[in-house]
Amino acid sequence: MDQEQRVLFELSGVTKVYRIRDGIFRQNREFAAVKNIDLKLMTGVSYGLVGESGSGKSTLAGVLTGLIQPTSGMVRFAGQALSDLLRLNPRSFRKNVQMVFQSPYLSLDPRWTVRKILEEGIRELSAHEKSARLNESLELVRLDTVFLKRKPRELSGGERQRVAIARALVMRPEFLILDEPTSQLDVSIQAQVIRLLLEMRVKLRVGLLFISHDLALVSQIAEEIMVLHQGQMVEKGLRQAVLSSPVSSYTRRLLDSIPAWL
Amino acid sequence: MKSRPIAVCAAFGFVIVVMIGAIFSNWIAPYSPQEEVRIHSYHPPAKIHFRDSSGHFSIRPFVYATRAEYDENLKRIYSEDKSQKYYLRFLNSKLVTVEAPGRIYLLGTDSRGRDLFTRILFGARLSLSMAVLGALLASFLGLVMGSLSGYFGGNVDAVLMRVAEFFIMIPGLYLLLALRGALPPGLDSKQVYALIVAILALIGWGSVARVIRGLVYSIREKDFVRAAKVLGRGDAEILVRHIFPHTFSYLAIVISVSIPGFILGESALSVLGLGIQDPAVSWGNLLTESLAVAHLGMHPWITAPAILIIVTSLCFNRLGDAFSYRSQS
Ligand SMILES: Nc1ncnc2c1ncn2[C@@H]1O[C@H](COP(=O)(O)OP(=O)(O)OP(=O)(O)O)[C@@H](O)[C@H]1O
Ligand SMILES: [Mg+2]
Repeated sequence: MDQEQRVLFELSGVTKVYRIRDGIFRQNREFAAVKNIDLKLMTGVSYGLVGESGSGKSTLAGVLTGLIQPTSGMVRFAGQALSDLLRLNPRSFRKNVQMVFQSPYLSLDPRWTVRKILEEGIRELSAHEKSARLNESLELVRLDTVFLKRKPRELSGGERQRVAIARALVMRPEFLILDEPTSQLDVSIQAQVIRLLLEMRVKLRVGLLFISHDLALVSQIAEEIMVLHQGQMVEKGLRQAVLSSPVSSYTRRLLDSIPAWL
Repeated sequence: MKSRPIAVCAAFGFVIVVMIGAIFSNWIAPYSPQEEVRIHSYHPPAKIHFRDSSGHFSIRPFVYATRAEYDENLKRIYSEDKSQKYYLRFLNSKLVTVEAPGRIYLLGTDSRGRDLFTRILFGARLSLSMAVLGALLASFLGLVMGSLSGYFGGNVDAVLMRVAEFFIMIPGLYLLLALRGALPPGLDSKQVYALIVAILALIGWGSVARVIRGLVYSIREKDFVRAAKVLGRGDAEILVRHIFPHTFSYLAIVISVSIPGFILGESALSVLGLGIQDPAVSWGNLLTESLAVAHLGMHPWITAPAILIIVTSLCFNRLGDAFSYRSQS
């Protein structure tokens, strides 16, 4: 890779424990969704995060975006503790790290127009700059400007998810986290979105974290693949290495379940 | 429940008419609410004629002069003096008046000869505005408290909800009486007005807050709220721009449903002598005058305010039902 890489995220010993209330008289139960995660994410790389349902993928994404406070462990962003950064200079972090959620039916406010949705992160910019950013990201996700006047319910699932991606892109982020962005879309649309992300990678050199339960899908875009199993990181390495010679038996099971023709 | 558009339209129309009556009472009412004509005590509603005793038809309606006689029980009996005609006049500084010295009592008069129609219109002004202001204030308080509770959770939630439950637990009427009773007598009518609005709001906000809390609690977990956070928007902005708009249809229901309760609450206070007092007019103190059973037989028109209170309350309820039906579908 020709461009200089920096460390973007550095996680050490990150654990998130959820307290679950089990009725009034029973004691609260504790459940560790991610356990003792050590992780380094570099700029400009596309990462894939695989794991079955409940393995802690969304929790980890939440920790990376600052939506979830880890119970213990340390998260650093560009060398600074994330908790400090969110307190002292949240804007700079928000500008750099964006996220696309699983369901485009839930992640867009149903009362807002597409224009308002896309402008949410850049309201403070001048009108001129706003429209420049809007056009730029609409073009990236291949949406026509006629959509700007519409509301989410007038859009198909694929169009909605492209709006959600465009909303993240108007921030011109350095790193984009996508939490199962295609799992609510049908297969042909899924391929469309993947193609879009690949193109975007080439054009913007934006770093990605693509989260999915589907190893085959992840291996289409990820240069590095991580595997979560019951809250633990059981595998982390370059795509080729992970696909050809995985260290963990769990990854091997995942690989075996991928049909040979892929 | 099936929504019946005709019933809803009728209720809506009635509410609008009453509101217009309240707002423009200065112009619609023929007299001032305090104007007394003692010789016209308990005058029945005027009979409006188009054809006179000799059978002549007139395009302009008119009323006859009336004379009072006493029967053996000393009850006043009004009879028309067919020799004296007074024509109605429309749209001359008032909606309807009649040529002097004639008087027109569309809904009759009370014991002191004050025009009931006029007093009902001016009463609507006070009663409806108190109920509407009370409902607005209650929903506003409920929205603020409920949102803080639902959005921030934790201790804020625990404290605010215990306070809300305290107000929900006590039956409204007793709270109304206790609060009003605890405050000094001898306030002027403006102070009493403000006080009643405040008390109504205090009674109403708790249940609103509890529902709003639930709504906000579920909305704040939605992905579009998380997306807003990731985009760098602050809590206050998220509350106002994403969360409040989702509570508005509920608030519309609350406002229309709580208005009748507040109208009745004001009436209850007046009947007990704790509400708006003479010379100010409200539906509550009009109701007080019509309480005696004797009126029903002798001057039934005095009960008009009671009927109006009931019908208006039912109409607001109907509207509230319609709103909730719409927001469900
Ligand atoms: N707020 C919460 N409170 C309690 N438990 C939670 C909470 N959020 C998640 N969990 C639990 O933590 C575990 C991991 O959840 P997470 O959403 O991170 O999984 P995931 O890998 O994203 O799963 P999926 O593929 O279904 O989205 C699950 O067992 C879930 O039940
Ligand atoms: Mg998930």
